[in-house]
This record gives sequence, C-alpha cells and structure tokens, in this order.
Amino acid sequence: MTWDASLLWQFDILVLLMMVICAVTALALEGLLSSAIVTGVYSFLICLMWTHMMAVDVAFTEAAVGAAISTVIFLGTAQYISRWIKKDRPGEQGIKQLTIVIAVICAVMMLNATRDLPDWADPASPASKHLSPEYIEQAYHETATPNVVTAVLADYRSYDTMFEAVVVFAAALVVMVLLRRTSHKHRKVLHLRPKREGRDTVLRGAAQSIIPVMQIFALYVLCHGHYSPGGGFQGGVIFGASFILLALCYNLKFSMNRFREHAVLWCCAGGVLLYAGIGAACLGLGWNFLGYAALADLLGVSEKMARSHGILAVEVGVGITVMAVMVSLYYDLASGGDLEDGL
Amino acid sequence: MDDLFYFIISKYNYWAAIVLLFIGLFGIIVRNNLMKKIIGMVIFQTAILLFIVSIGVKRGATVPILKFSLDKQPLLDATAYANPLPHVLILTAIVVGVAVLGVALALLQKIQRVHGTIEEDEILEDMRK
Amino acid sequence: MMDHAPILMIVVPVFASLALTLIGPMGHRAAYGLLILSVAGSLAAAMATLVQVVWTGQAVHYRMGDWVPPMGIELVIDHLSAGVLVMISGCALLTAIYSMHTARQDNPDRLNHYYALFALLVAGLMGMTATGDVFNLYVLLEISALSSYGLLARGKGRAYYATFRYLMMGTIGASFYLLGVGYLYIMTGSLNMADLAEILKRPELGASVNVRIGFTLIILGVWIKMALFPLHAWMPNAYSRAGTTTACLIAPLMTKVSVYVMLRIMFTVFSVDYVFQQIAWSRLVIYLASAAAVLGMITALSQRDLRKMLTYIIVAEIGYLTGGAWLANTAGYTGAVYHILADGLMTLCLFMAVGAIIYRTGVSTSAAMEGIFQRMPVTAGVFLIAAASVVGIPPTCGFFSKWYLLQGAVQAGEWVFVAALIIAGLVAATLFFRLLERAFFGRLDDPVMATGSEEPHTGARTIRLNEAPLTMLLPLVFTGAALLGLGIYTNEVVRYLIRWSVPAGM
Repeated sequence: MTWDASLLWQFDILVLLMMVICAVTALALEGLLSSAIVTGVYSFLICLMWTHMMAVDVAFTEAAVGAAISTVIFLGTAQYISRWIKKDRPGEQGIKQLTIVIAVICAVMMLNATRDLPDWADPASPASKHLSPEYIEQAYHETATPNVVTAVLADYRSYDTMFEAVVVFAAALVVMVLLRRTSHKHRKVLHLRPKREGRDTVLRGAAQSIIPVMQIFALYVLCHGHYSPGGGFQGGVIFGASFILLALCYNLKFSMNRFREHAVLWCCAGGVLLYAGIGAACLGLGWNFLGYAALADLLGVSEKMARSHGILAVEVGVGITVMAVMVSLYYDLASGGDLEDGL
Repeated sequence: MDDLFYFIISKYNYWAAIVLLFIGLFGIIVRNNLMKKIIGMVIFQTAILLFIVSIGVKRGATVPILKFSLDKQPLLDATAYANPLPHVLILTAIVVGVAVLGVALALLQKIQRVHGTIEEDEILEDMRK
Repeated sequence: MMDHAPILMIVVPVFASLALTLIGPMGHRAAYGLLILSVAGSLAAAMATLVQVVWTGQAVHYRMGDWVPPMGIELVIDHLSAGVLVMISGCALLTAIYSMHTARQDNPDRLNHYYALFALLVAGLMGMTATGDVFNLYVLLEISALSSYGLLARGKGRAYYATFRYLMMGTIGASFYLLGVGYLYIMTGSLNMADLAEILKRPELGASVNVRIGFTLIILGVWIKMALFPLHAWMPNAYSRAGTTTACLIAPLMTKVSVYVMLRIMFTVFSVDYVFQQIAWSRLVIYLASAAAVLGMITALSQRDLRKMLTYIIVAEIGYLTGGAWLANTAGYTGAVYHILADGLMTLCLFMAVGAIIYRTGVSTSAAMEGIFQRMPVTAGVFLIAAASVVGIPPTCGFFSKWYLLQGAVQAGEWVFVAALIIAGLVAATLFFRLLERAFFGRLDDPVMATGSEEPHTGARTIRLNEAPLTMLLPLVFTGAALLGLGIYTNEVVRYLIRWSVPAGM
C-alpha cells in the first residue's frame, strides 16, 4: 500500500494534538482571562489546519472572526464578570458522572463507526463525486467568477448567505436590546479602569500606521473576492476590526466619534436591506428571487456578467452588515452597555 | 502493522473531530462556571466544523479557485480542486457561531449583574430565594 | 405576484424587521401597524399557497435564483408544510394584534426593536417550514433561535439565567442537527431533501452505520429543540419567565415547527421503511412519548404558577405528537399532523387567556383565577373552551386529535401509549376542573382580588366587570372560535389536506 506524500500527515497530527491539548487546557484553567486566550490559540490552530486542508476562504474567515473577534469580545466581557472560577463542590457529581459515562460510550461508538466512512482525502468519495464537480466545471461559464467558493456562496446558495447576514444582524440587535442602557444610571462595575487618553506613543503610532492599511486591505479583500480568497465576510470583518483597533489604541469614545452608534445601526440594517433589495429587484424584473440574470438588461451586460456584478453587489451588502455588526458587538460587550468606556 | 498505519492515516482527522466534540460537550455539561460552558460551546461547534471541512479534502487537490492556462482559458479538471461546497457551509456556520457567542456573552454580563455570580450552583441558590 | 408567494411570505417579515429597527422616532402606533401589516401579508401569501396546493393537489416548488436543484436551493411547499405555514402566520398575526398593551408594558423603551425581533422570528419559522434544503433549515433554525433568545430575555430579571440555559441547550440541539447533516453529506454528497431521498434509497446506504448515526443525530437535535422528555428541562423556566406577548408567540410555535422538522426528516428525506425497519430503537420512542405525556400532565397539576403549568402541558402535548408520529400507521400520523394544528391553536388560546388574566389582575399564580367568571366572562368562557380542548371534549379539535391518536395506538397494539393518553386526559381534566371551580365559585371576599368599590352602607363589595381590552379580547375570541371550527370541520381538513401528505408505505 503506497501513501501519497502530498498530504503532510505528520504536520496534521501535530496540529491536531496541540488542538486537543488547547481544548482541554481552556476548560481546565482556573483563570478566565487565560481560558479566553487559550481559546484564541485553539482558533488559530484550527485555522492552520484548514489552510493545510486547502480551505483558504474558511481559514480566512476563522482567523478574522473566530480567532480575533471572539477573543476580543471574550476579553471585553471578562471586565464585567468575576475572574476566577470556584472549585467544583462534591455535591451534585452523580448526574454529571452518569453523563460522562454516556458520553464516553457514545464517543467509542462513533469512533468505531468511522471505519465505514470514506477515507479521508479520497477523491472518489461520494461528496466529491456528486455535486461539486458540477460546481467547479460550470461556475466560471455561468458566473464569470474564478473563485468557486464565492460563486457558490453568493450565487448558487445566495439564499443561505442572505439569511446568514440576517443572523448577524439579529445577533447585533439582540445584544443591543439586552445590554444597551444609554441613560445614565449608576451601575456597579466590578473593575474600574482608568480612562486612557490616547497619549501612549507606541499605541498611537501603531494605530496611525496600521489602521488605514487595514481599511484599504479590507476593501481589496471585498472587491477581489471573485479572484482570490476573500469576499464580503472577510472584508467586512477586517474593516470592523479596524474600528475595534481604534477603540483599543485610543479609547471607546474616540472610535465612537468616528462611527456613531446610530450610524452603526443603519449600516447593520442597510447591508441586509441591500442584499434583500437586490433579491426583490430581481423579483420585480420578472425572474425568481435573487436571480441576478434579471439585472442583465438593467446594466446592459450579458447574463454571465450580470451574475458576476450581482455577486459583487451582494458581497458589498454582506460586508457592510458584518462590519457594522462587529463594531456594534464590540461597543456593547466591551462597554457593558453604557457605551462609556471599553477595554 | 502496515494495515494499522494506513487505517490511522486515513481516519485521524475524523477521530480528532469526534474527540474534540466530546471534550466540548463535557465542558458544557459538567463545568459549573458559565464562562467555561461558553468556551465548551465554542470548542464543540468548531469540532463539528472541522469534521465537515474534512469531507471536502482531496489528495493532490488545491484551493477551489480556478487556474487559467496561458491563453486565458480556465483549467476545469474537477479532481484538481478541493470540494467547494463544504467550505460554503462552514463559512456560514462560523458566522452563525460567532453570532451565538456574542449573545451568550451579553447574557453572561446580565447574569453577573442580576445575580452577582456566574457559578451555576450559586445562581440556582439565588433563584430559589 | 402569486407565483412568488412562497418567497414573499418569508421575505416580507425580514423587510419589516429592518424597517422596524430604523424607524425609532416614529412611535409606538407606527411600529404596531407595520408589524401587523407585514405579518398579515405573510399570512395572505401562506393562504394563497395553501389554496394553490389543495387546488392542484401538487406541491409548489420555488427555485432561488432560478438554479435547478440540487445545484441551487428550492422552497418546497406540500400539503404538510402548507397547513403549518398558515398556522404559523395566523398565530403570529393573532399575537401581534393581541400585543398592543402587553408589549408596551414590557418594553417601554424599545418597542420597535422588540417588534423587529418578533418579525424576524416569524420569518425564521416560516422559512424553516418552507425550505427544501437541509442546510438552509439549519440557518433558519438559528435565526429563529437567536430572535427567541432576544425576545425571552426581555422578561423579568430572573429570565436571564433561564434564557442562558435555553441558549446552551438550543445550540447543542442545532449543532447535533448540523453534525447529522454533515454525516449525511459525507455519505451521499447532497443537501437537497428530494435528492437525498433518492440517494438514500440505495441499499448499501440503507445498511450503513454512518447514515444511521446521521439520522440519530438529526433526530436527537430536533428532540432537544422540541423539548421531548427527558430533554425538556430548559423549557418551563424559559417560557414561564417571559413576557406575556413573548410567551404567546413562542410557546405555540417553536416546538410545533420542530415537530414538523422531525416529520420532514423522518418521512421525506428518509422513508417509512427506513425509520421503522433499520432503526432499532423506533419502538422505544413510543414509551418515551408516553412518559412525556403522563409526567408532563402530572407535573402541571402540581404547579402554582399558571404559565409554568401551561408549559408542562406543552411537554405533555409534545409527547402526544411524538408518539403519534412514531406509531407507524396512517391514523397515528394523521393524528400527529392534525394535532400540530390543533395544539398550536390550543396553546395560543390558553396563553392568551392567561395573559389577559395576568394583565388585569397583576397576579400570575392560580389565585388569579378567583371569580374570573364574574369579572372577565368572555376571557373565562374562551379559557373554558381551550380547557375542554386539552382534555378532549367534542366538538373541540382536541377531541378529534385524541381520537385519531387512540385509533392509531390501538391499531398498532401500543397499549402503553393508549394508557398514557387516557391517564393524561384524566389528569388534565382534574387540573382544569380545579381551576374552573375556583373561577366559578371563587372566594369573592378576598381583599386582594376584589376590584369593586365598597358600598358605604352595607359594606358589601361589588365586583365590577373588568374585561380585558378589546385588542386582547378579539384575537382571544377568534382563537376560541377557531378551536371549535377546526373541530367541526375535521373531516374536510383531513380529507383535503392531511390525507394527501401521508407518506408512502404506511
């Protein structure tokens, strides 16, 4: 039996082992700040795994969303909660131990069942033979987009992506409804931080050099999503992260002066409105919902190019929403709702 | 020995995903502190995503962005590219995961404010009063 | 326009929620009006689709972006989904009309955002029911879940922990569903329901252990979201601490739509043969369902708080539904589908009546029922009808669903389930009899409850009529009438709608 040397299994096993160690550590540590950081490390490692598996769009999104934003909002929340966990009391261990036993049995059963699964990385597995060859072969002819993932995401399955944008919008709305109290009530904050005035030279220098580049890069990622890994989500998250970086280097008020909370809300809703609006426009022009070919007459191009432009337009919508949502989540979570002071 | 080696090599990714899944589930159910439960949830969700992305890998394949020949024609050999469909699913699932994480952390802050603690047994005592 | 009804009924509430988020300065009346208009539009589209499905006898397919499935996503509305869609939008509209006073009371500062989440929940539920793609269902499941977390957390202060527990359990459930979809994808390579059904007919997949694991994971995930015993622990706390409007919206709908998803996966994606022959534990489910029915009702009996009592009744009803679905015969299946519609109405009616009583009396325990028949006669009358439906008295719809379920259980020889249905009915009768006795013959001299003024000469208190406001009363009466109407027209509903959706091979 020969083994194809194109897959670096040694690297994979090393990274997976590190991931298991990180997962166990994150759950076992006593300090919550350390647990949050270790979870960030776990996300980075999984991002590495995905890059190795040639899932670059996914790795890009996980790096931006999972490793960066999740860690920032964990740390932002950690200001408002008690920092150390209590030792588990020996009281109610009975039912928990029963659950562990059931879980171990199920794990063994599932591990045993992997014998039946198609071999990993087998090009003849059912998933690789059934639908995906058609996507790879037809995407360019029908949508003029070399990045097949973008074509599938924003055209073939654009209904799913629209609701994904609605999900992030809903999350921002729920967090705002839960937390935001802009009336000045006295609140007991567990951890009082001195307000930073933005006089720190290194932070200010870093912000001034990195943030403009970040924003241009975000726009590049958004627009170039047709031809390289990237697209609406990744570009939007990077753009939002630039505002979060601004808030971290200076303070929250500084960032809020540049991107006010009602503008944030308008962008959250506006991106989804753009997306759904394009879908409705296609409806009005006689095709089905989100059938971009309807725009061909409007824009004066062929159907193939109309789809390409439609994909770009919905990616812009998604990018606007995601940017605003990340900023809104940071504003609410890192300030505990009163929008006074962040991390 | 060769057989066993081949068996491990062909399945290790799935095993890792299943092990991580159960570690995450263990975190959610057994840990008392609500923040640990949230971390367990993150581990649990990403393990599932790892499993699904593993489905799309092909030996010898590259990223699913079409390469072009010298005369601007796309090279359309389906076995040369990784499967794009799982990538699309996971992109959606990652974003959904961070949305749920945001809401969970907001609830955590509110719970701290109302009950003064984020340990489950203390909260339950507080609720009984 | 009618061609596009399937997508309109999902997208109109989405647009409404976007508009509601942004119209802050426009005020309460505008928000209320916008919400009602959008849900009414959704209902109109759902009814148009129902008429089309019943008239042509065939399912309605709608392709997103004009892509042919399985390349693209399609909406498939057949006899089963059409009925459920009308129920969802109808219940949502009734709750929206009902919510005028209670929503404003619970959310004085953020009414338009509350209504935005309301509209998103409706859109998510409608989308979940109409879709023909298993992954799309997951995304919409998460939308409904997220909006429901937001709505539930607006309850009283203690609601946060209950919502957190619900979030954890809901995410576990949805993640199991996703993992199950992943297992199915790895073995078949498709995500479209019709395509999956075709591929799963192959014999080597029928015997495959991983397909079985996929099925089990999906069903387990759906059971968690459905609050089937013993996975129901998150529900009573979460629903009972919610605001009145939230409870009226979420309680009837979320669990029923999860039952619908279970039916879809069991009978459209997999087949009757697969579920009852390949799955070894399919008979055990009936025992689980019987336990749910009996234990749910008994726990309801012991509750003081009215809303907690109602959520335990929902646990019992979910037991009926699950048992009916897993009975493997036509009568049981018909009972289950009919009961989805009937139970949605019953639960809505009960929650609305109790909500009106709590609104007027300010008390949420069973003491609030004191002398209700004198003070709020219409509300109490409708509560009586709903109670009769839960117990199973003709001609309310509850009687007919119990009839079908009993018939199915007897045919299948499942005597445990028969016994559970009968016992649960008796316990429900006891429960409601106790409440209604208090309502009729309540102690009128209780100083907390009397709302009348004291006569200066005789010292006797007069009980003044203090009925619920009109916007709460009209939907309540309509729902009560619908309970009776559904019961009276049972034969038509079964003949024209449910009979056509029975899966092949039952």
